[in-house]
Amino acid sequence: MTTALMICYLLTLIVVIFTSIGHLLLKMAATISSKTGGRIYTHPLSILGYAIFAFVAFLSIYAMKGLDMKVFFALNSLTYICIPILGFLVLRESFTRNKIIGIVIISVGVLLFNL
Amino acid sequence: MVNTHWPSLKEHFRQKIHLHFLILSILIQAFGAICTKYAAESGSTETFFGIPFYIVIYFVIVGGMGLQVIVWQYSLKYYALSFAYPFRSLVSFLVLISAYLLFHESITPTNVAGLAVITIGVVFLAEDKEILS
Repeated sequence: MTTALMICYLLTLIVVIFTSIGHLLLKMAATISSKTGGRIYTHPLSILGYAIFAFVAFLSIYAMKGLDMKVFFALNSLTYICIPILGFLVLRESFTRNKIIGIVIISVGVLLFNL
Repeated sequence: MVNTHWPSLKEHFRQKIHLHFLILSILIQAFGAICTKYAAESGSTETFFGIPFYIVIYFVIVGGMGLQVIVWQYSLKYYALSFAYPFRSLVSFLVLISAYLLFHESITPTNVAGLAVITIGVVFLAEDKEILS
């Protein structure tokens, strides 16, 4: 594996992590605003989330320069595992048997779809 | 038998409305993907009322992204992130159908197998009683 290719894989991994954090921030802002009755879209966490998505879009372009689109999207299916894990760890969302089975099956399905 | 997950009929309808927002978010996501593909395929000489077509479509994509974030975050107010995000994988259905109908791309057996597996996964998620936040 060449260094350039390794950088593209690394960038894709960063994209997965930041996408997960972005969605987590949007969810946190949504939860806070529904509890306090404040604005949802102008909440600082929402704005930080939007900024992260813009950064992710920028990184994705560089990652896709060296990777096939289908490989990039197949690796992106890791978000289907990362996001529920973050939901469990940070937001204390429930992790039931059905949810775990569903998430694992969906990840396999998305991987299969994109291959 | 009374479904204990939805305490009342009013609540039941309220939840369904929120599910519509989640589905709308998927529709907008698919629309964005279609527009991106159109932008990638359009020639640099094509124009729309004198404006280069790719610029017009970029504005449509950015507008679609904005709308999608609004609808998506609204539905996040009501659904657990660990349910709502995997649910969005259903966008693959629309991507595959539009790729075939609009861009004449081929549908491979792994695409169909992937969709079937995704659907089974979403059925498992939907069976979960703790999908709300």
